[in-house]
Amino acid sequence: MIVTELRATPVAVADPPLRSAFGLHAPFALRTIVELETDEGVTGIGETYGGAAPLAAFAAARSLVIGRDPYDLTPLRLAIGSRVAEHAEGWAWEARRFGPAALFSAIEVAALDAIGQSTGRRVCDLLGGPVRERVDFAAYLFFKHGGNDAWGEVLSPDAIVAEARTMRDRYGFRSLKLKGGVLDPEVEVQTIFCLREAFGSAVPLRLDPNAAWSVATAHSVATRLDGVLEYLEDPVPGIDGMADVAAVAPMPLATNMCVTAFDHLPEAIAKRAVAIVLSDHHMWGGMRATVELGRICRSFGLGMSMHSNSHLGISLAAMTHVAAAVPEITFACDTHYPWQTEEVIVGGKLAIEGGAVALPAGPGLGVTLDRDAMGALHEQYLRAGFTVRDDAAEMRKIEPGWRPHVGDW
Amino acid sequence: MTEASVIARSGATVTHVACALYRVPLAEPVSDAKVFTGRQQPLGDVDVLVVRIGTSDGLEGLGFSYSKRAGGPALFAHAEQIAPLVVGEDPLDIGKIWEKLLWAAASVGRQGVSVQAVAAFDVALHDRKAKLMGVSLAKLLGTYRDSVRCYDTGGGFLSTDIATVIANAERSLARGIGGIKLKVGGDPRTDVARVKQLRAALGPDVPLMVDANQQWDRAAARRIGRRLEEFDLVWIEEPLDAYDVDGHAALRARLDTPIASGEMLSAASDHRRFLEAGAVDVIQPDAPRIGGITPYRRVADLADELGVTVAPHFATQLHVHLAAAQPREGWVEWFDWLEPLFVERLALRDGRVFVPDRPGIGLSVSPRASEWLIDRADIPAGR
Repeated sequence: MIVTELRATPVAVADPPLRSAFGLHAPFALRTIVELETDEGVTGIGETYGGAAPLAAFAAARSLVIGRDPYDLTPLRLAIGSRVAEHAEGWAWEARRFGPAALFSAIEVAALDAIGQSTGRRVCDLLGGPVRERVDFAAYLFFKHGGNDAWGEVLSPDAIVAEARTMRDRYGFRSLKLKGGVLDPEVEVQTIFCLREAFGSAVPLRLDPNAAWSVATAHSVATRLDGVLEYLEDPVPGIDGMADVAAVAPMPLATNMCVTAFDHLPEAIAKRAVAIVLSDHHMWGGMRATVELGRICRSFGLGMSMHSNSHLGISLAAMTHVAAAVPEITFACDTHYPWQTEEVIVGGKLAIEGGAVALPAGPGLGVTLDRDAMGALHEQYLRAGFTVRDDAAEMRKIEPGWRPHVGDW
Repeated sequence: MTEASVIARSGATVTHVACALYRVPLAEPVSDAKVFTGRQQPLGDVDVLVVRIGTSDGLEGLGFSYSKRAGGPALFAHAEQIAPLVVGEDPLDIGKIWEKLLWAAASVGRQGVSVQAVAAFDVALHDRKAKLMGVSLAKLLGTYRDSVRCYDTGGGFLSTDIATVIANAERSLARGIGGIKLKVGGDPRTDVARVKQLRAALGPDVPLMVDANQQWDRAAARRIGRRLEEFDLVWIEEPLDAYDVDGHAALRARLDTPIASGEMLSAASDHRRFLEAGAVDVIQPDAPRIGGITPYRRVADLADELGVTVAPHFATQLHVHLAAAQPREGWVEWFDWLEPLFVERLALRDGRVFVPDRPGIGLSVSPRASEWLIDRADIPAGR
């Protein structure tokens, strides 16, 4: 099998005004849909970060990808690595730094989809076989502004409880994750207590302030939420800061900010900065790399969960296949999926039932690109008026002079 | 600081070279006038030398050269011997590498097999350079057009009866080919009759060429050439011996129909003699046959300066790029003989072949090609 074309189509997906420590989600989330055509007539698909930087990277990658056997993945990874200097990519989801790991990952997903279609096997089979047929996801709770969506404004503990209730009613989520770093840490602690009170101790809770807090705040919050949080995610910036918090915090610390690449692991492990690594195949260099990450986490006694960005069904299918194939992912994975109403796959949105997504049945990823739907979202991208995500700028449209908290709240 | 150390390198070096010889079978054996006059055997396959050059930045260039009938194994053996000289070089120093490979075999001359082996490396380096920029080879050289007029020879060999030739021509036109070339050089009266029948069948608007494959002497070429004037041919190709510069010049002076030649020449210097003597209206260089894109560009530039049309011979997949980068529009020859070797197919419509929208030449070797692999060499070995 030979790749005959690599196509990257930018799309913009309607996104509610969700808040985080970085600011405010714009009216559209940017994604890129990847298509890998082959001489066998099958076309593999993938989905990754959106905007100008990924598009430039895909354009440059055509020379490395076209003409190559889609099975030729490790040599492709090395080739991409030798074209673009490898560096620890950090906050890749901002898509400003769409580096070699993210680029390779997006192509790998499409290649595995093509191989799966060609061989009649699911992607999870190609990754070594599923250890589970259904993958648990967590309700991703956001503070948010009122917007053109059914959720309304959510800027108080009670409103978050109502949001969580809706999420649970609709999708059956059995774990709850609160995106923090938005309101005063004191209010966010209260929000966690409200969630505990509303849903009981059988529903695991997580809090993720995206490194907005100071070490002192993190110490205080961690101590007070002892026995309440399943894990505390990225309370402060940096491996050293996380190690300072970890030395005191009674619950495990998780990260998708200070450990986002294999190169970050040695220092983080040596300093005991984190107990749980949030994988993300988009960022960590692919689905096979995520399988490898699982073995490394097991060896070093680290837990493993999964990170998410605003995404469509192709990404959700890929996340489900990966999570099904990695035994070490024992925590419910993150997903923004309920926040998006638009879709690019045939049949519309994938179902989340009982808080889980079933492995799609068909070969490959098991989802098919709806070209008309993609075309419409591409048109939306062209009209969106921006090609780089900037949540802080979006926030300043409402609060001029707004600045994100980074380790100082 | 030494002078060498201040010359900026491109940042990449050649790390490996793979040479492979494929014997690609034709759907059916073909014969031109050289077979009917007993000079050659029918052609059943084409030997293709494929060279792949890998560089430290992860790119790989693909180039090829070819031989019809004898010569394929010699081409491969030569390539295998010179390939190690490319390793370690800066892949952007294409001219320098071309000279180096030529000098390595100076004892066997500057034409024929010697340059044809170098051609595969030269094409591969150009392919890689275009991939480095992420553009087609045509765009790397600078395009004047996105597509080139094409004609078809496949259906008009001497071995084919005229009814079939007409049917083949109509099929070619229907699938988007722009012009039809008929082989001549057999019995003169039959030749003229076949041209007349073909012209009558296709009408006055279809561009027609004839190709005598060097089978006439000067007198015959004059006489038959005059009888062919009424058919409004685009050109008469190879009316005389491929190296008869003076004969072509004299014939050209006496006929209105343009004279084309050059496909058999195996060095740029031979083309220069034809061009400087004013021997042709249409020059037909073949990049693999004369040493690659580096010498082809010299021939094409000189031709353009002298007002001579360039219509490259064979190897459509490569020549569509070179013809798109030529100021004066020529023609490319539509051949599907090499198609099985490659994954990609050229787009053909409205009488034109389109430059593919892929980086480089836009070709990759088909997984099927392994059945026709005759020999291969990897440098460094064991890679």
